Parts: sequence; structure tokens; C-alpha cells
Amino acid sequence: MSLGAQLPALLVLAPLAASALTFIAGRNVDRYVALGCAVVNTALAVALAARVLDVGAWRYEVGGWGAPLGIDLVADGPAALFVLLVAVVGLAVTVFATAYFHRDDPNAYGNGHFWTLWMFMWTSLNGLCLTGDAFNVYVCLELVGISAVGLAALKGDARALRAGARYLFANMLAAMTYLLGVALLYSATANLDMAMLRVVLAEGGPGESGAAVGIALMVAALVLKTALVPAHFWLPSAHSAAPTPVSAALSALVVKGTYFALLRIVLGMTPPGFVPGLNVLLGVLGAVAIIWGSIQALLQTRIKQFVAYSTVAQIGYLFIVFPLAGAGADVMSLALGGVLLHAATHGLAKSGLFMAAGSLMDRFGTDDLNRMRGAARTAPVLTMTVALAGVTMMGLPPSGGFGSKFQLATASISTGQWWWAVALGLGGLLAAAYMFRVLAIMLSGPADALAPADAAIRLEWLPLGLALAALFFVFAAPLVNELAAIGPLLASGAVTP
Amino acid sequence: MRDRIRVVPLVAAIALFAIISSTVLDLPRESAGLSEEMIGGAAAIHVNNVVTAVLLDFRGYDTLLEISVLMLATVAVLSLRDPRLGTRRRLTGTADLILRSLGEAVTPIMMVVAGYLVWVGSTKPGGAFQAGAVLGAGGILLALTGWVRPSWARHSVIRLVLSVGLLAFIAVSVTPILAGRTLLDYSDDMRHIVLLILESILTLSIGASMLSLFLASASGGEEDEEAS
Amino acid sequence: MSTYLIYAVGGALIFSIGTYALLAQRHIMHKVIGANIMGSGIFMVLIALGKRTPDGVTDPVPQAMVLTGIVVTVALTALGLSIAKRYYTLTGLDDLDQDPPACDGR
Repeated sequence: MSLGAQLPALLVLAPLAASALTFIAGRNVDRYVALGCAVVNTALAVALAARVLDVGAWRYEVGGWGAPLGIDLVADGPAALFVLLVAVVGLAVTVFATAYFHRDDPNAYGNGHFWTLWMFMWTSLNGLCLTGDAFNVYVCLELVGISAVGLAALKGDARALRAGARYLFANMLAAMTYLLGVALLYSATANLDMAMLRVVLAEGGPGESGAAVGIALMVAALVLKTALVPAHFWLPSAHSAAPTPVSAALSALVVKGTYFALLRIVLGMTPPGFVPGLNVLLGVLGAVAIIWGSIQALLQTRIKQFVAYSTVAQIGYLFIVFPLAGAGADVMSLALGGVLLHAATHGLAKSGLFMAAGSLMDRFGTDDLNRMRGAARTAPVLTMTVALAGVTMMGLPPSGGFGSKFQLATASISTGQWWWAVALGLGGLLAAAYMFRVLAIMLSGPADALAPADAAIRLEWLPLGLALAALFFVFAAPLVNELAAIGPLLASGAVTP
Repeated sequence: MRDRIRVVPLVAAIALFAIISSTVLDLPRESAGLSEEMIGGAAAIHVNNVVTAVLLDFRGYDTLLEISVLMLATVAVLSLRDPRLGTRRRLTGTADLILRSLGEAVTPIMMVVAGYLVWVGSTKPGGAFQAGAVLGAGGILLALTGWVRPSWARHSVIRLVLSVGLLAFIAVSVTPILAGRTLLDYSDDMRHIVLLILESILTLSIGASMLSLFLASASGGEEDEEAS
Repeated sequence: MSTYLIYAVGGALIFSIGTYALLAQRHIMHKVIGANIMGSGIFMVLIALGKRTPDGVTDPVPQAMVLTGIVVTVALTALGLSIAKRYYTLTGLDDLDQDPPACDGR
């Protein structure tokens, strides 16, 4: 077996080994272990995407057993794209964190265990993207959940602990619900491999209703973990109480990871219409999330809460693909390409926005938006980052947000479901409203006092780079669409390696 | 106020019960599941206990990530430890004569039981998790009698013990890749001895994790502690 | 009527009781215990449904799933308890609905 074919396994094992090594390494070495791992991981992710583009999707039989006996990993286009997104944003977060945690006492945040938790999170996100097994999704989800709660509560003050506890209870509820769902699914079908389940479920049989209830429970659990309205209650406090690098990772990556599991289960595993009304319900909740999240973002007075509610809104766009399932292959490839493009763009822009917001917060010594007047003059690079990320949130050209909304709207209208396009448009307008409100404060004078930039300059240029990448991401759309078309999410039912 | 029945959760719980129980009643009354394939596969690799074969062979990847979950939880709990707590505390407040004698008498037996559980795992119910739980319980007894300090995870040796299980598992699962096979595809002639060694190391780490999970939460209390 | 159904329906009942506790109770410890009760219910459902094989040999896959589930539950519980403990030491509060006194508003 060639080394290239081993990439799915290496992408999980490399950060896993780094997790254990950072724990042993001690406080002076751990950040360099993490940085090294981030670089290796990014190289592996690029290699995975290149190989998927070159030879197409493949299945990796862990232990050499093959499904249904063993667990199969799936390396396809969407997985490669998400792994690449995790790698790029992860590398940026790692570099940002080396500067961020350097300024403070390294022991202050989580007794110095940030790096181990962060490497575990990276492991679990890669694992979640690459797995093809419905029960393995559960184990990966718990790794994501526990590392996310640990990181969200890292500051250890009352606010962070309260947010972490809420996040943990949401995770507990989701964990138990998912486990029950997968138990019912297995009991009804005697299979756990998602590609095989697609075939089994399409054939139907005596366990059909049990499988449908099981899938509904699994989807409910993932919706809770992805913070789709009305299950978003834990997100704003958890994402805003965390240290800035963690906020960026949580908002840009963690909800995307759980969303990707949802894509695999709803589009890849479940035949359209198998669970009655499920896909339309997800679409409706997505549309509600776009509107509700945007309105909430408009009302926030604290900068990190504002960014977190904007995440609630942006998550909504990702769910517009589900009600279109079952339409023709060309519509679905347009829609799937659209959501993947949106996920990637939002991941880049939101991580940049959160880093800029956190830096502004540290510079002004407050998280109150109304006391950040004149930031455009005193902290021009950070303000520029917020503005550029805002262009992406609004979906103006040439941002990736424009491309994704355009594709989703075209797909909706071509199936006659024009109302989704209305929600997309309204979301863009509301995003413009909440971004301009914040920018108006930052551009107004007289300037509020702010602390001098003591940290390394990369704290300012790194988020700007991410926001710029998102701004021109529409030029990557052909590549994203090509990746979206490779694999079982579109060409369903392909079991053979 | 605290004990008032809440309507919405109550309705949700009743609805859940109705849905799940009717689903369970609706499932086919007979289903072989994957037991035939699993039993056949376990016989082919000469493992007598099918559940052990599922955990270490067929779904060994799940178990690798499960060990990770345990270590991750330990690290997360350690990250929440109050840094102001001293390192010279003991949980001796509860250690009376009876508890101390019990600890001295029972702990060696627990260690033997843990060793037995690892050994027996390939043929009967048992294995690293059960053995680790017993070992961890023995450790908790030692902590309650003041032998182990709550701050023990700050020692680099203990950190090594906590992570060596995961590292060993990673090493065992990556080795086949170097030989051109897939992850966790152990070679047949070495599998029994390799897995036995792996399970023994895992037992140590799992036991240490269990004890750390207990100590991290126990260390905050006031009346349990006194400086030694 | 097969015996396994008694355990499966009983497991569903236990799961629902745990769900109520997790959703309705305010005390953090009660919530953590509620999640554990949910887990026990699921494990009972899994074991019961694995007993449906024609030859009476228990399906090993649900058993392995239960073992994994137990470890995950242990991990979640330990994290929940240590967050609860730290939160209580800091604020003197044992539920999440009240605003902590030292916490600036939110």
C-alpha cells in the first residue's frame, strides 16, 4: 500500500501523537511540538487534497477487515476540503496562540494544558471528517466535545466556568441522544458503515421505522452540537468566554466539524425522504437561524458576543442544502459546492474576525463595543480586518460568501423553492446592517484610549491575512466545486473502494 | 421552587419514552446483528472472547480513540485545577485507623486482581478497562489514606504514566503502516504477546487516569485537607 | 412476548427519566446524575436488543458499544464534576441560572 493511500490514518495519528507529546514535553517545549505538528498536518492535508483530485475518493480499511466487520475511513473531496480548512485555520490559530499565550503567564490558562487540549481537538476534527462509520462518529464527537468544553472553560473564571458547564450539558444531552440513535439504527439494520447503510436503507425492510427514529435522534444530537437555532443557547457564552485563539477555533472549526458529520449522515447515509419532513425542517431552521442570529448580532453590545451571534446566523446558510436533496445531480452539485464554499469562507473569515475582535478587546481593555470609538485611526489593521471579514459575512463579491450564496440561490430557484433565496438575501442585508453598525463605531471619533501594541506584530497581520483569504475565496470556487463532486455525497451508493 | 415539576421537560420526556418504546417494540423480534461475522472473524484470529476481538481487532480504532477520550478528560480536568492549591496537601482528613488498615490490606489484593483481569481478557470478560478501573480504585484508597497527594499529576513521571498507554497504542497501531499494511493491522505471529503487553501498559495509564480524575475534583475541598 | 423487550422498554423509561432530570433540574450535580441515568438506560436498551439472535448468542457489537459508552460517560462525568466543584469554590453557587456575584453581568 502506497504512503499516499495511508494519508487518512496519518492525519489522525499525527495530531494524536502530538497530544500525548505536548503533555509530556513540559511548559517550555510544548508549543514547539504543537507548531511542528501544525506544519506537518498542513502538509498532510494538502497532500490528501492533491491525491483526492488526482485519483478520486478511496476507502481506507482500518485493521484490514473492511466494513461491516471493521471501521472504514473515507477520503473523498468534501472530507479533503474540510481537513484542509482545519489545517489552514488550525495553523493560524497555533501561530496566534504562541504569541497570545506568550504575553501572559503560561500557567495562568489551564495550568499550561492549552496545547494538549488543542492537539486533541485537531485530532478529533480530522477524525470526524474522515470517518465512514456511524459509531466512530460518536467517539470522534465526544473527543470534539470534551476538548471544546475544556478549552472554553480554560480561563477558569466564573464566567468561563458557567459557559463551560452550559456547553458541557448541551454536549451530554447530544452525546446520549446520539448514542441512543446509533443503537436503534444498528439494531434495525445490523450495520454501522454509512455507505453500506445507504444501500440497506434504500432497500427498506422490517426495521425501517426503527432506523428512521434512530436517524432522527442522531440528527437532533448533531443539530444541538452545531448550534442550529433553537439549539444555539450555549454557543454565544461559550465562544465569547474563551481565550481568543480558542474562540477562533470554536467558531471557525468545531461547529463545522459537527456540521460535516451531519452532511455525511443526512446526505450521504440517508436516502432522501427516508425520515419524513427531516430535510425541510432542517432548511426551515436554517432560514430562521439566518434571520434570528443576525437580529441578535445587531443587538449585542459586547464585541465577542456580537461575533458569536454572527456565527449563529452564518451556520444557518449551511442548512439550506438539505431541503434541496433529492433534486437532480446538477442542482445538488451546485448546492453542495455552495455550502462547502460557505463553510470554508466562513471558517477563514470568522477565525480572522475573532482574532481581531480579541485583539481589539485587549487593546481597549474592555469588551464593550461602544467604547471602541476611533479604532480605525488607532488600530487600523484590526479595523481593516473587521471590515474585510464583514464584506465576506454580507456576501459581497469577490468574497467566497458571494460565491456560496449565488450557488445556493441558483440551486433553490432552479428547483422552484425560491423562498430559500429570499432568506439568503435577507441574511445578506441583515449582515450588512450589523457589520456597518460596528464599523460606524470604529470609524467615529473622538478616539477612546487604547493600550499600545505590546505583542508581536503577527497578532495583527495574521487575522488580516485570514480575512483577505476569505475575501478573494470566490476564485477558489472551481476547485471547491471539483472537490465537492468527488465522492459518495453526490454519487450516492458507491460502496466499493 | 427548586422541586417544582417543569412542564416542558416533562412533556419531552414522556414523548421520548413513547417514541422509543414503540420503536423498540416495532423492531424485528429476531436479528443476528453482526454476531455471525464477528464470531467467525474471532475464530480466524484465534481469539476466544469475541468482545475482546471486537474491541482490539475489528473496532480497535474506536478503542484507540476511546483511550484518547480518557486521557483528554484527564488533561481537561487537570487544566481546571485551581493553580493556587499547594502541592503539599494530603487527603488525610478522612484517614482513620480502620480506613488505613483496610487500605494496607486491600490494595495489594486489588493489584493482583488487576493483573488477573488483564491476563484473563483474551478468553473471558476482562481486559484493560476493567483492570484499570480496579487499579484506579486501589489508588483512590491510597489517596484517602494519605499515601498519594492530590497534586501528584504535576510530577513528570506521573505525566509519563498517564500518557504512556496512548503512546504505546499509537506505536502498535502505526507499526503495520511501516510494513505496508493498514493502521492497526497487526501481524499474526506476534499479535497475542504484543496485545498482552499493550493491555498491561494501558491498564497502568487507565488506572492513573481514574485516580487523577478523582484527585482533581477532590483537591478543592477544605475540610478534607491539612498541610503535612 | 420475549423477555428482552421488558429490559428494552425499561431502558427507554430510564433514559426518559434521565432526560427529564438533565433538562429540568437546576443543581449542577443533579444534571450530571441525570446524564448518567440516561446513559444507563441506553446501555440497557443496547444489551437487551443484542439478545435477539436466533441462536441465543449475544451480539458482541452492542456490548462493545456499551463499553465505549461507559468510558465516554466517565469522561463527561469527571469533567462535569470538576467544573461544578471549581464553580462552587469560586462563586458559592450550585446552579447555572443565578448570575454569579463576582461576574460582570453575564
